[in-house]
Amino acid sequence: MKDQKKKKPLLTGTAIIKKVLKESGNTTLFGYPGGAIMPFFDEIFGDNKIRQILMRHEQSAGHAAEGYATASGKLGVCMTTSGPGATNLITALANAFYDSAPILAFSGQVNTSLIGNDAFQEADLIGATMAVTKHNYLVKDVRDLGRIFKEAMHIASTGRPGPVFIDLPKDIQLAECSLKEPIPEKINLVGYKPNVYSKAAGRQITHALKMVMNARYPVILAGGGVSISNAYQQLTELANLLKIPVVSTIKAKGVIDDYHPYALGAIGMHGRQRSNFAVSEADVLLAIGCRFSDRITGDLDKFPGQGNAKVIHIDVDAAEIGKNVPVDLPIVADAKLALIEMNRQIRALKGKKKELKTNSWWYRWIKEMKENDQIPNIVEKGPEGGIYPEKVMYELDRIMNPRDIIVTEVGQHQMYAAHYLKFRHPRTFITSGGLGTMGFGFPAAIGAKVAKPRSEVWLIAGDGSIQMNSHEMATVKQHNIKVNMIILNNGYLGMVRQWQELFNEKRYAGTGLGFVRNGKQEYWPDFVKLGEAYGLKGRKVTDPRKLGKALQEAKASKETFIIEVATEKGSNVLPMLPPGGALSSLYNREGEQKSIYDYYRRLPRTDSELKEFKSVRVNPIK
Amino acid sequence: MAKAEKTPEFLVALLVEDHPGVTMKIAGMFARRGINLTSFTGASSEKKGFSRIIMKAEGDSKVFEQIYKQMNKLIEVVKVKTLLPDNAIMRELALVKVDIKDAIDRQAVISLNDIFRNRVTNITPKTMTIEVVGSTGKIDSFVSLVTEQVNIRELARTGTIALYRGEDSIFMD
Repeated sequence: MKDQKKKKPLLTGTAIIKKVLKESGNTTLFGYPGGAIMPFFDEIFGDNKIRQILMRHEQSAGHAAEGYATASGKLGVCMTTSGPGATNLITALANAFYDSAPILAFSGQVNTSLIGNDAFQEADLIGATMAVTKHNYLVKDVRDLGRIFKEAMHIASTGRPGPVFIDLPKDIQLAECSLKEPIPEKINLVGYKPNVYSKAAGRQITHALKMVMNARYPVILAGGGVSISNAYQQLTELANLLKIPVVSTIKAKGVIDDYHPYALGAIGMHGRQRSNFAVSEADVLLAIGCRFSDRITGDLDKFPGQGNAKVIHIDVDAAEIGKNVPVDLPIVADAKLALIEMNRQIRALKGKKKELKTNSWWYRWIKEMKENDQIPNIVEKGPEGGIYPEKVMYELDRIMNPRDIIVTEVGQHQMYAAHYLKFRHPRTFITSGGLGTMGFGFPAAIGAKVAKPRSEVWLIAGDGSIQMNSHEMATVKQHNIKVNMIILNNGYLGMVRQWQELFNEKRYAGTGLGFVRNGKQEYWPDFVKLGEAYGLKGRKVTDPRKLGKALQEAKASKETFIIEVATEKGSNVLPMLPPGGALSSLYNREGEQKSIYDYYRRLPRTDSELKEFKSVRVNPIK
Repeated sequence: MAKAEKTPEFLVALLVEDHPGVTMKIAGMFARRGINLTSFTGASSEKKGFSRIIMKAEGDSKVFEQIYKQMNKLIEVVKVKTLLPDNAIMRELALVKVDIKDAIDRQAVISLNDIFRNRVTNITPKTMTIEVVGSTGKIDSFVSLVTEQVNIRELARTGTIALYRGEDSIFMD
């Protein structure tokens, strides 16, 4: 009898999951129920320590978890049911995989006895998620459950983070675990030991430093890894110590204050002119935590420094080093640890060694480029009566607080935001970088607001991408989550339209979202009315002068507010790097393709050239 | 017969945790990155719960480097090593079933077997099954020579397995 009293009650599978989640502090769950995940939903029902946010689509649940993870730096958790619920999640997993977001996703599965029998709502999710997750598990025994969840969380959030998926049969959720310790204290993964720092990396950093100090035109390229490893202070310190200009990928917006004198902004296809030109003139590129995607490199033979620059690449994932761009000096390390060591070594340098070879022309050149490339305040309407997106960004930039979080969908509006908004803090710009998922923004904004309830969250969307997940208006209403939605409505899938204008002889195939009747453009839906259907308020803005007031109204609102901006249809995101082109040759704002040397003199490479260069102006064309 | 330009090949040895689906993950990685696997052999290793997988794939050193790093990223993969002909012992086994029409055929195959030091594992009046062990090249040349004499009815090959020559090894510390 005594023994029986002492005996702890056996934990069921779902109780184990709940316990692991609570112990690790992951109590915000984005999900959607269904037959095979019912036991887990039942387990958390009425538990006031767990916040379960019911999204309106499984894909949204995944994106919301990513928004949550990106804004907070913590793990994002989402769950769905089996079959269609889980297959709906795949886009979100792929997006998180590309952008290295720590996500724990689990979905119900049919009973173990039915697996492989083509049961109702059965799908092979292990096979389907293999290519889009960092790792995945099928739980076949309730005794493995605690270990698997702990391992999954560890794998998702360490090294190069990424989504981990767990396939969870219904009978395993309901089964009782006979183990004394259903959740192991420690986990041991023999095949997973992420290399975040080593002595070898320290030695490589010494070499890297030598290369950078001897460079005439060094540039730092900061990627999303800097943000993920929270290395922004170290990055700014490095830029200050060495006085090196910093360009960033779109995923690294905010890792350096955009008002910093050496911060140039995003590079790539829709990057800033000055950033692309700086990289194309560089002789040493110090890349930190980036993948060298084709969207930022352009023509690989001419990247960087028109193919002549030396590349130092710091990344925690060895597989990224040398994958796309040949690297002269690889450093496998976590960005933060590597930068701490690099800064330490710089501070330890003495006397002449501390002096850089870089000459003042580089800074004048950078400064001049920066001055030539400012955010325009276009007060008038466009030829077709629409407001220019630049104006929206100009007004938003004035009203937004530095701690506000900007979330975008994918398309022209995303690039306008990346171009023109000034970011001063890390994790304040959330966007789908690698996969480019339309429909990502709205649910991610919900996740970001849940993670940072005190920050104002602005969603910048296009009329195309918002319609991919506009049903989440129901979620924000139900859970009272405030997102300030700015929908740039130009009646087109604008980014594709832009490509068609530039490269397909203006054949706008499948990109018009409305039509012209009696000389008047009509399109659907009316987003303000759509919001009304969900019980939300909004305002349609057709006058550029009224934009600022509408933004204030949204900011002051207590719940989600929709601003629909009648945007100029033909507006293009410029400058633009044509696909496969070199960074040194861009389409300018007037839509003409021009080389860097149409604007600036070729920078001197030798000492004799340098002497000659000193006697002329940097920018003779201006 | 003019030989076509041979695509370079590389040999990778893995030590992996013996979980269900691990073969799929490894093979899938090659498929996803558009790399052609020419041979894939896997079975249990000296350590319980771990399998040794030896793969041969087509590609140059750049392809090899990328696949090496990607393999290292798989959670179940404990060790990845490359094997080169100079530093490895490589073996392949083939079972060859040939059609025998008469005594002349039989004699011809037996004398070939002598040269190649093959074993005859099964014989019937109409067939002969031969076990060939050796390098991939040896099996290739036996197959081409035996086809000149008789018809091959069935051929099964294991794919290459390999270990480091000498004291170097790939094992759990």
